[in-house]
Amino acid sequence: MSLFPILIFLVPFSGALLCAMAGWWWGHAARLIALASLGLMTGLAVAAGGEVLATGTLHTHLGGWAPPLGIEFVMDPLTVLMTVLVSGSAFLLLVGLRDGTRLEVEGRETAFYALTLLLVTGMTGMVMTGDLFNMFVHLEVTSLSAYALTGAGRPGAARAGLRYLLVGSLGASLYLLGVGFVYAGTGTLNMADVAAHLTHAPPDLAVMGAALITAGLGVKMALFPLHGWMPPAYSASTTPAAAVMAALVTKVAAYALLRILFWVYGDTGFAIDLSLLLTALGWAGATAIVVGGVLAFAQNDLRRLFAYSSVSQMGLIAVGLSLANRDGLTGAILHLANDTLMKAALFLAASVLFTRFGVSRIDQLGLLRGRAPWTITVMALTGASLIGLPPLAGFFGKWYVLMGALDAERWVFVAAILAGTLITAGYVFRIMEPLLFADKTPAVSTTAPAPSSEEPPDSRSEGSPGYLAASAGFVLALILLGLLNAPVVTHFVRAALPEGF
Amino acid sequence: MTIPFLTFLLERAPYLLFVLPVTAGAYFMLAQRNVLLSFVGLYLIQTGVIFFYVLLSVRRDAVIPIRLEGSSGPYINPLPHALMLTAIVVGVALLGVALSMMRRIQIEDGSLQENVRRREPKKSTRGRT
Repeated sequence: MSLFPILIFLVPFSGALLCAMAGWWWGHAARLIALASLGLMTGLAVAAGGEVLATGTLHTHLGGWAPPLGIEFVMDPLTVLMTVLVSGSAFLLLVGLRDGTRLEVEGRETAFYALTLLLVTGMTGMVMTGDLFNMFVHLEVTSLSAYALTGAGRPGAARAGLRYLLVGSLGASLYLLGVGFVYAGTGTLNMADVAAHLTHAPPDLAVMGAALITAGLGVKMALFPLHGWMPPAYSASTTPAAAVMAALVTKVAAYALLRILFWVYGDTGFAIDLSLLLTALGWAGATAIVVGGVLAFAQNDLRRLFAYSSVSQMGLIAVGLSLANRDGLTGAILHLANDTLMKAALFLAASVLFTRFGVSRIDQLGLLRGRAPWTITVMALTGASLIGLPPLAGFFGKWYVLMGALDAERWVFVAAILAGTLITAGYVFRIMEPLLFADKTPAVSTTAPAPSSEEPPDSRSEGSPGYLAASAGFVLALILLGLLNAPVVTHFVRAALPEGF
Repeated sequence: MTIPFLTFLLERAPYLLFVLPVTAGAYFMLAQRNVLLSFVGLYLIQTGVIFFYVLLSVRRDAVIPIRLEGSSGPYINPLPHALMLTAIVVGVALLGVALSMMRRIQIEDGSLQENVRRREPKKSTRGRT
């Protein structure tokens, strides 16, 4: 019994409530409260990590009710990794998104910060909970905050938000139905307890439950072909909201799927045979890698391009999961962390390009040449990580998944990963080319609407100090996660894998 | 062939309460181009799932799980009801968010149809109809 999990959960939750109340009296309070609670949460998550490494997995029984009757929060090394990732990225993003929030959500900052904190609360709950129904509740808290963040944007955002709501809630209903099947089969909802009872459950119910849960979470993690909600949602919302959501929401859903498939079903060495489901997941992922990459290549809007890039990266994660071997799982988990950091850095850059320079499309990128050296560097390094160049973190996630695919002798998946790498290189070069190489016809400014024209861009500074620090933080994290991937894999990923992997 | 199938269905007749709303909801979500009707479809599906849970708790010859004088088990399983109470609350929150977004779409575009945008010429009515 440890207090850390519940404290980590309560800090952003009370922050959200405080934000909503204090923000109406004093407008600046919301940002201060949000930053303070996310900073405190990151600190607590790191401290909990120390305790987990020292003493092993932490359990908190909510209300003192012992599982399986009560709900428990569990923190093992993998949970620590995800919690630090969620809280740290959210903190850095809010630090870096100062311009975006000031310009784009002006007057609604209180609501923006409160919703962001609620989003983080929901995701923390999803990461830590050890109970299938509690997972549904946190999934809905996360999703409802995300719908509201999406819908509160420019004209047209409400449509994208409502579409996200319809598709996303359908996914949540499928998840709930799947949990119902699992409950009907095992009579319990606690994950560890379900795992213990699965061998006696009717196989039909257990397989049906797993399929429905996978479909439901597949919608939430934008797994091809269930990704349709994501590009409109991330391109129509305000750039700060898009950055916060794109970095985290889909990854936490993928983490939930990983937990249920391998810690609940895989814990007994797949006594319930899920091979058909895993194969379907793998093919969906392999298709996503290629199709997502091609669609990303075809986009002109920067944020749509990044969103389709996320579809492709989620495909890689799905392939890693479907392999159900040690390397595949390691790669999928590492790539969850990588894609969080990469999408955070890219959407942060997109936000600043939009608010400072009025640039949101690739054909406008030529305007930036020589004016935004720092942002171009960040985008180049992150792009290199997306492609998978070795010292950066993106390489290692892809490498482990590739090793897992070779190990399982799934040659089509190997081919898809390699082809996906080429396509990724294609769309990254498509972004970098107008930024780095001069062409003679800069016929770009004619169509640029310059949305932030009321605040003429300062040619000398390309962003607030907070932005420079935050994007430096993300790039540094990418480099460090790449260089230190061996200890991360040993202590946080493989230490947490269930027996038999 | 048909008799065992019919028996199978009749034995599970209460589950029609789950199947019918979900089917109707799926039809509304897939076939309707009006976001309000799509949302009605989603709500029907959620209601169907709630019925599914409630049906799980049923036991033959059981009474409601409240201790009254003279009543002694077997009781029906109270847990699904408690879970669905939470799910209903979530559904109400969803309804609120959806309605506020629909209101905004109505103000922006003057219509809740999916193919109507204000940017498109002629179709924009922008009236308070």
